Amino acid sequence: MARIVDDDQRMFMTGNEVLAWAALAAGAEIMYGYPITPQNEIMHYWTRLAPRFERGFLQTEDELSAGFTTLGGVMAGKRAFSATSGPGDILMQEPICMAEMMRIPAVWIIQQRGAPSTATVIYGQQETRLACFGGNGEGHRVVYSTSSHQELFDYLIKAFNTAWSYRFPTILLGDGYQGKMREAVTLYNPEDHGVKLVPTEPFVGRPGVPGVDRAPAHYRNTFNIEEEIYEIVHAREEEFEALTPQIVEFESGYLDEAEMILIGHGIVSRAIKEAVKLLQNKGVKVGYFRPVTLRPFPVEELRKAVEKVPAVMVFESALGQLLSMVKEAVGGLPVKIEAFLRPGVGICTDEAAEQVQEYLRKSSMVH
Amino acid sequence: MGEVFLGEYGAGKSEVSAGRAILLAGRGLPVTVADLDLTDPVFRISQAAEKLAAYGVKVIGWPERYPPGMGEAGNVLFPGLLGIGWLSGEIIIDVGYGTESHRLLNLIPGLAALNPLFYFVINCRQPLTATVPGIIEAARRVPGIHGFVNNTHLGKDTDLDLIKSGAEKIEEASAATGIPYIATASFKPLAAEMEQTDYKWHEIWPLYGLVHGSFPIK
Amino acid sequence: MENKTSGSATSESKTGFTTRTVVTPNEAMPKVWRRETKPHRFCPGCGHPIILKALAQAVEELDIQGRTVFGCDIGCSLLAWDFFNLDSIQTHHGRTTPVIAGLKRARPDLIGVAYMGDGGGYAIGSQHLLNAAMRNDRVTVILCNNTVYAMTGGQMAPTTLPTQKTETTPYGRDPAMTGEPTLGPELMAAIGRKGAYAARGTVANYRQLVKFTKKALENQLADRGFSFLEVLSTCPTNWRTTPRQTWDFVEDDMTRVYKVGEFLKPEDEK
Ligand SMILES: Cc1ncc(C[n+]2csc(CCOP(=O)(O)OP(=O)(O)O)c2C)c(N)n1
Ligand code: SF4
Ligand SMILES: [Mg+2]
Repeated sequence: MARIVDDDQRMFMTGNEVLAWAALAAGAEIMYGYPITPQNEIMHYWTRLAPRFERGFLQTEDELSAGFTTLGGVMAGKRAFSATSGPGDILMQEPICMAEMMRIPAVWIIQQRGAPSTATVIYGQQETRLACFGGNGEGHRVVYSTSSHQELFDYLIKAFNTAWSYRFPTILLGDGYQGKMREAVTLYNPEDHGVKLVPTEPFVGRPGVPGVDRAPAHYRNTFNIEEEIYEIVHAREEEFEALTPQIVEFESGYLDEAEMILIGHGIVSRAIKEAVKLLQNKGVKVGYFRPVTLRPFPVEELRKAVEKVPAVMVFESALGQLLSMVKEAVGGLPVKIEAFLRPGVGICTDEAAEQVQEYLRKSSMVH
Repeated sequence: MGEVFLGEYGAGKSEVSAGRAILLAGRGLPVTVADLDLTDPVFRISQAAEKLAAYGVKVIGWPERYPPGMGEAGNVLFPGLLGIGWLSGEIIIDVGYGTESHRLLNLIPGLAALNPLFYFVINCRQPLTATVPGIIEAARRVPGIHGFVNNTHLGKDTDLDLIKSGAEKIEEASAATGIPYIATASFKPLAAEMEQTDYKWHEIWPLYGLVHGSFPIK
Repeated sequence: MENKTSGSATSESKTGFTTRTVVTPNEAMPKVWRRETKPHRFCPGCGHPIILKALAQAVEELDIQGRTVFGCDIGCSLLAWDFFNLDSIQTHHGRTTPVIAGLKRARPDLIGVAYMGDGGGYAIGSQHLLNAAMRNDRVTVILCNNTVYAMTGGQMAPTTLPTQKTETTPYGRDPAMTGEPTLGPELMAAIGRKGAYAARGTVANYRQLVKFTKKALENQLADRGFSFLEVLSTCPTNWRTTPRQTWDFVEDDMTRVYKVGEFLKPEDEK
């Protein structure tokens, strides 16, 4: 694969452009896509750059087709990906399901927008549940939720490697703010940073005549009887659980002696981290926990973090999607769960800090 | 007089347009900014309309909380823009990005009457304009550029050396293309520092960070 | 200054030009247009409102305002969600045909109009269009061909002309890679059943456009079959064209690929 930059380059750009460059750096060979805001510029930049780096592009008739052509590309042995948002994300769920069932290492970028339905093109975190559990199954997929341009770059490269290492469909979950805002980022060639690209291999079309030189490849997603699917789902779950410690990622800080832990993912985690620093400077004992992988969810790590804490507060630009994951994860622990839920709207540092202080003030009055 | 700001996506056209408008308004000139960035409902100069008003600068474009694309996009042309060719005073036009974006100016019928100057804004910390050949190639896509504006920066990690590294490339691209290097733009404190040096910045245009404030994150 | 807004007097203005004030803008508007939502939100020079004006005129002339339901897609057509004094449904991208087809099955007395862009109709909604035509659903589909995905900022549409530059064909559309432009009415004529109607009009010929629109509605009124009308339209914003270039593009460039006329009439043998 051609190097995309001579050496590490510090750049200032939008998140969608970062993703186009990250896909190049990750050795992505072909993108399949359909226009939708706020991810359009990934495609615009990919179509500008692809000929220069000898990569492919196909604009399909819709997202169902974009998703399934991506599966075709991957089964041909190519590092293939697609990008979408909102209503397009809904349509992508059918191909993502097929990828879950058949362990197809396809990669999706999802830039969330307001929901439900067409809603707004600007921002939201209301596709969290969809990204994790959007199919008619148990959500056997990996979902990385990023929070900065550097992470967009790093984690897209990682997403391809995760997909091809473990053969679970992999999603990079961003949002419209991350796609459109500008900030500094370091572009690099993965090999310069000791990141090796996991090699790909074709599912079909290998050398030799099937049935003569080699066994034919037969892939299916359909089964006859209840027991068969029961076995398959269990086996899948066991494998997913066994891989969880290798895949799961989280970030936390100031957990010791915290009176409250702030929880958020994606771009909201930036606001809560800043809020925690702000409050710590005022002498308020608070910490933060941010799941980086939403699938698998860092259940053990979160339980450990909140074990000795009286309360947590979940922040999200959705109406309780992360909240329900947190509730499920900490089930049985004596921690009080508060939430600041803002569907389709961003959360600022000051707001987050204010919510926490307000809660702590009230709860100290109760004591 | 008209001044048109063109450049790569995210080069800082809107921010530079705002800075330029304030600079001209500060000289006592009547200044109007036209928002011809049809790409996004966000990150557009119209969002800075209120702040610019404080400097006496008028903005023509969709009002901030009235993105016309109804949840799908922001690319519907504000009809008021059609009349800017007949306005008096200094008219600054902030043109959006995209394939053939300079041709967006075709949408403004009386533009020629403004005798506009076309400025090409360059941030050498964008991958496509990070090298001299890159700058030349980007500028070649836009016919009739009158001048380069150096807006090389890395957000809060910007310093004079970084701006200088951009200036050197732009000087070179300027020599190769014959397009003059007109000005260097930077946030106000850095612009003030630049004033203290005798480096050849050409004109120095201070920027105020008016356009980025729309997202609730740092 | 005196502001003369009605009457048909000819007056000599101070500049020496002879101006003829005919009617107020309000009076010029079809009654089916909803005045409260005017001025509309389309760009200056956009073809959508011309198509919608023809539709309003046809609805008025056929006197079916009380029973027409207007469906619009996601695309710039959605800017028409409150455009008419008609019950209106803004659906999902590409899904207007099935919503209106479903409505018609449930309430055959209503007149269902599905309005969409070329992306909505020929790309994401193409299966619905084909199947509605094949079932001979008694609905009227009106599709605005502006050669781009306008609302999302000018990407390639199935109708983009060869060599035309768009955001996803920055070096020009190459038919070897992306296929030739979709010919909708020709396709509908080929698969259409007896009683169906398929035509292509243009915003550059308004009277013909009204005529085609009326026929597409009358066909539904007469319960004969599926009706399909594509309209060549303008998008100066994404074409980045001057008014003259805009008209040249729609009248010359587009009609070289897209022939205007009727391709299937209800009375045709099938
Ligand atoms: C499922 C889905 N995919 C993509 C989009 C994004 N989208 C909105 S409008 C549009 C294209 C509109 O083009 P067209 O149908 O030609 O209408 P025009 O705007 O040109 O009139 C797209 C792709 C969406 N809203 N939903
Ligand atoms: S973008 Fe194009 S289609 Fe949409 S309203 Fe403007 S001119 Fe019309
Ligand atoms: Mg269109």
